[in-house]
Amino acid sequence: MMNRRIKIIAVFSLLLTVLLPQAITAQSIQDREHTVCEQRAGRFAQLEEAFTTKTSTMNERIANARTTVDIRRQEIDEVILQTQTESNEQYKAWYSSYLEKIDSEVQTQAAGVFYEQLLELVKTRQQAVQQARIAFRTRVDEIRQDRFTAIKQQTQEFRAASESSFAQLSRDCNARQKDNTAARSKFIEDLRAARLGYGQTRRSYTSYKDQIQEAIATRKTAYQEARKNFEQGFQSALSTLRQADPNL
Amino acid sequence: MGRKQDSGVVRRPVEYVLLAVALLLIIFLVWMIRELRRQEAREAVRVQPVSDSTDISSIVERSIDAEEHIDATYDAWEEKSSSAVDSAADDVGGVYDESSY
Repeated sequence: MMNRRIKIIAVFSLLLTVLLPQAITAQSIQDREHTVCEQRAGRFAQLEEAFTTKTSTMNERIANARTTVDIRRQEIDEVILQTQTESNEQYKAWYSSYLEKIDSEVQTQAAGVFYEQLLELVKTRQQAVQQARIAFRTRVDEIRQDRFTAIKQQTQEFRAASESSFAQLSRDCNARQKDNTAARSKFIEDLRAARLGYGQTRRSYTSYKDQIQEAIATRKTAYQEARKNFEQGFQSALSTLRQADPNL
Repeated sequence: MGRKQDSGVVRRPVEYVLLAVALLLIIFLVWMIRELRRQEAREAVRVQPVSDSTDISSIVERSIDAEEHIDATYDAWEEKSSSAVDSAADDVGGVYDESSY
């Protein structure tokens, strides 16, 4: 009886000696994997920082683009005004010079009428062109605004998808899944899908240059119309002047 | 009939006359060409008086062209105005490399 007890104790001890270290090791591996998993999930903080830095740079450039556009337009407006002033001076110089060449009262009167008509035609054309220019700028501003809003949204979606991958990994870690490798694979797959999806969206997005071509074409048509109207009026006025001055 | 030169070539008086005529002809041609050029220049000035209609027409054309050129210059700039933002947005795509996890 005693021998039987000793045998049972011996077998039990033997089993305990063999199985206990294995159980401890398995637990230890699981704990370590859990720690690695948590550490991996915790790396989102670094990623979040990188996202914040890069999106801040992008937002700064968006703000700068708007300011630069305003400055550039102001410069262009000044150049246009200067060109118009110079043109008006040239018309005036031509008129003064012409008056010196003619001698009759009829011709002088006709020249005065022509000059007035010319100035009026120039003014009408400039007004039409300015209207087309304002419409063009308004349309381009809308396109730019929509584009920047879309770009911001795309980056936010990318960031959210990446964050979601980390959150899922964290949940899988806490669930203490048996296979942490599977959790990691899923995590990597999700991250890759988010990154590639963002890249694809960026590549498929129409370039800004292409987006504004329609607005440029619309303004060009308006300019051509204004020029055509001007030239018709100008030729008519010139023809009237020629009646008074056949040598013209 | 002729005189013997130091070089040994003998010239007759009729040859001197021919040489003189040729010289005069050349001088006349040069003068005529210069005179024609002067006349052309005078003609060019005459057909472009200040009061000529092409003058005011060309002033008008130049003014409109100059204005439209300014807009075209702006367009070229505007077309590139979003590139810095696009570049920053593309850079966001490189925020991580999943293989490093």
